[in-house]
Amino acid sequence: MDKAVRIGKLTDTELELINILSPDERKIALLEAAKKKVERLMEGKECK
Amino acid sequence: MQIEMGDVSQKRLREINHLTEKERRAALVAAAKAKLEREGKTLDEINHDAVARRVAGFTRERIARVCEKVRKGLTKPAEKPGLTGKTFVLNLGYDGHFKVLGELPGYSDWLVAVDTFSGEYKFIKKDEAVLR
Repeated sequence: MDKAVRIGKLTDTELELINILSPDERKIALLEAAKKKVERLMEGKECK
Repeated sequence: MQIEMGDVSQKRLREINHLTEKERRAALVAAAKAKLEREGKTLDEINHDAVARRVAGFTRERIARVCEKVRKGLTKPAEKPGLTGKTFVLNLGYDGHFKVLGELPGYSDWLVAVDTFSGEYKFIKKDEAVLR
């Protein structure tokens, strides 16, 4: 089943842009961003 | 605001939940811009294509239902003052003469028009219609 996520307030342009993405493309974009964030955090930890 | 995304496991959903709302917005906007660049299209062009695909996928029954609603004036008239009732010409490889019935419900950039010669209905983007 499709899931929904909160993304806060959008401008009209942001909404128009996001609307061109299919649900799967949105999912992939969010998962990739999450993965990159984890990697960034891990790198930060290793530096300490 | 919330957006729908495809089916995702609880594990993946937890990963996404690590992102702030601002980070989610940024990721989605960046992905959309990348898509436009990949396809070499502007936002207007891609929106037009999407509507055209959806409209092309309408069944005959749906077209008939929409046209009936528009004809009865149950939907709002075309926004541009004076557009409804006007005729226009389309270059379709032949001179197509159409009469505007109103806006295509749910697609404010599109019109429902009737071919004044054949009586067939056509959905057309407003800015592609050359008004006479």
